[in-house]
Amino acid sequence: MLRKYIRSSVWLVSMGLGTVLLAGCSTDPKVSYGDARSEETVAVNFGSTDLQVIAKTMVDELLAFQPLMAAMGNTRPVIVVDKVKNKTLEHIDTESVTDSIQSQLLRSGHFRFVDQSVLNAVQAQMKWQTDSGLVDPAKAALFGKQVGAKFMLYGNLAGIEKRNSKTKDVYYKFTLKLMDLESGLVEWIGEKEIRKIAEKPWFSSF
Amino acid sequence: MTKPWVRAVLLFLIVGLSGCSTLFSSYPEDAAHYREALTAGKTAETLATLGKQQDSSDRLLYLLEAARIQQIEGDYLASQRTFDEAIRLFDAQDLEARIRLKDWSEKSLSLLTNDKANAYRGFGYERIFVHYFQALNYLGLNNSEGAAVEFRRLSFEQQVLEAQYQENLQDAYQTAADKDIPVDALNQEHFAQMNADVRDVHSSFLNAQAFVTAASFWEAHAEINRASVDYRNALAIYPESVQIRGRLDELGQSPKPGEGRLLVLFEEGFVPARIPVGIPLPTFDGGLIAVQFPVYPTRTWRSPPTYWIQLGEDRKVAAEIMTNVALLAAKNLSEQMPSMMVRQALRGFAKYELQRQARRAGGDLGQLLASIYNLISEQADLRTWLTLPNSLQSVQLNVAAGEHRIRFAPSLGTGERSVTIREGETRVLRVFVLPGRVVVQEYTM
Repeated sequence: MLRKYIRSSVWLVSMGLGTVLLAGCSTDPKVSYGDARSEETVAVNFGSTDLQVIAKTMVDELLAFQPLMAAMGNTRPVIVVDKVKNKTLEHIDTESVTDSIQSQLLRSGHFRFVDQSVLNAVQAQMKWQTDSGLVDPAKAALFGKQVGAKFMLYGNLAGIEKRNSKTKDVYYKFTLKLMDLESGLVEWIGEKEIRKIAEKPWFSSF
Repeated sequence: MTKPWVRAVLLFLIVGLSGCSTLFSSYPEDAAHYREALTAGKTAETLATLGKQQDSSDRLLYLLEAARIQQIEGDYLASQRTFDEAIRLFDAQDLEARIRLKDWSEKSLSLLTNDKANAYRGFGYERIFVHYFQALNYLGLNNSEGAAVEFRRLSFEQQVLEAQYQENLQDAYQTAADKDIPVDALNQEHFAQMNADVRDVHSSFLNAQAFVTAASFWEAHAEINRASVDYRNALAIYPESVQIRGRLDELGQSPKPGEGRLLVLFEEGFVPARIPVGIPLPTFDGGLIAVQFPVYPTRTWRSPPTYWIQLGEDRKVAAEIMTNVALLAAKNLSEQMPSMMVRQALRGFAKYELQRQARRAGGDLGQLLASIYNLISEQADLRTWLTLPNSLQSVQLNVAAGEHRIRFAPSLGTGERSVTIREGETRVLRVFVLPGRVVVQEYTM
C-alpha cells in the first residue's frame, strides 16, 4: 500500500515539476481592451461594477424624486459633495463613487457643483491672478464672487462580511443624503444594497 | 540490480538535496540575521535579501518579516505595501480550491522530505498581527480611515478564527483516529510540559493588546459602541486587567475638557523560536522510526519584564502585559500538534518503507544512501514569524492638554521624552524594546 503511495508520489512530483517547467516557458501576459461597463466578477471584493451600479442607482433615484425636483424647478441648485465615509472591511476609494455620481448629476442638467477638494489650488490661482501683475486686473477672477452651495451631499458605505471554510459573503449598503444647508433638512436619502457570494471551487490546477 | 523506480526516487532525492536548500536549512538561523540587523539598526541589506524571495513558497513569511522590519525602521509606506501583499496572500487562502494540484505536489514532496516542503501559510495569531500592525502603519501615515478599516478587520478575523477553531481541532483528531495514530499518548509522553504551560492561555490567536488599541482608536473617534465591544473582547481575554476595567468604566466620559489621552504601547523583545526534538514512533511492523517535531522550551521561559512610565516628577503608571506572544505561539503549536503528528507519522512510515525497499533493491549501498537521506531530510518545521515581539504591554491614561515629560522605566536609555498632547486628542507612543536598541514612534489616533 505504502509502496504504491510512494510510487504515485514520484509520478505526482514529476508532473508537478513538468507543470513548473511549462509555466516557465509561457510568453508575456495577453493584454486586450474590455468593455468598461461589462460585469466584473474577478473577485468578491468591491469592484468596478459595484461602483457603477451604486452611482447609477443614486442618480436615477435622485432625479426621480418628484418633491425635490418640483421644488427646484429650473433653478439648477448648487451642491457641495462631502466625503462618503468608508465603514467597510476593505480599503475602498469612495471618492471615485461620489465623482461618478457628481458627473452624472451635472450632465443631467438639473444640478451644479462646487468642488471643495481643490479649494487651496483655486485660492492660490486667484491670488496669483490678483498679485502677480501678469493678469489684466479687469479680467482677473475676483475674490468674494463664488456661489455658495444650497445642498450638501454626504453619506457612508457600510459593509458586513461573513466567512466560513467554504463561502465568503459580502454585503454593502451605500447611503447617500442630500441636506439643505440653510434649513438643515435632509431633503432626500438614497440607498443601494449589494450582496455578493464567493464559494470555494472544488479543484484548481495551481 | 537496482529497480528503476528506486533509482527514480533516489535521483529525485538527490535533486531535492542539491536544489531545495530551504528543505534542509533552519529558518531560525536565517531569522537570527534579521533580528541582528534590527538590533544594529542596519536593515537595508536584510530587506534586500528578503525582497529577493518573491518566488519562494515561503513568500508570505518573508513578507511578514520584511514588513515588520520596515515598520520598526519607521518606513510606514513601504511596510504598508508589504503587509498589503501579505494580506492578499492570506485572503487568497480563504477562497482557494478544496483540491489543489499544487498542494498535491507539495504534499507528495513533503512526504519524502519534511513539512518545510509545504508552502508557508501563516498562523491565526500571525494573521491578527498583520492587521494590527497594518492599522498602526496607517496611523503612522496619518490615515485614520485606513486604520479604521484594519481595526475592523482585526475584530472580524478574530471572530472568524474563533468560529473555525473548534472545527479545525476536531478534524485533526478525527484524521488521527482514522489512521490509528495515538495523538493523546504522544502528546502526553513528549509534549506534556509545553501543553501544561499553555493550558491557561485563553486562546492561540486572540490578542488583547490589539483589541485595546482598537478600542482606544474607536473611543478617540467617538464610536463608543465599537470601543465598548473591543474593550469587552480584551477583558474576556485578560479578565484581571485593571486598566481595561478602568477604561470601560470611564467610556464616553473622558477625556474631560482640558484633557487629552496618552496610550503607550510597549513591544518587548523577540518571540522565541521553535526548537527541534526527535521522537521515536512505532512502525506498523514493530520497528521504531525517529521523527523530528518542533517544540517550544516553555519551561526555560521567564515572565517578560514589565515596564512603567513616569510623567513629570511624581506620576508613575505601570504597564500591563496584554499579550504574551511567546505563549500565544506555544499555544498555537500545541493546537497544531494533532495534525502535525498525523503528517509526521505518515512521513515516518513512508521513509521507513523507502529504506526497506532501498535495502531490498540496492543492497547495503541502497540502504546506506536511504538512511543518510532520511537522517538529513528529517527536520522539524521551525518556520514562524520571528521578528514578532515577545510581549505586548500597554499603559493608557488621561492627561492635561499640553507638553509632558515622559520617562520609561526600567530605564531604556531613551532619557526624558517630551510629548505634546492636545485637548481631546489621543496620542500614541509605541516603544520597541529590542535587545540593545529602543525605538520610539509617535502617532495620533
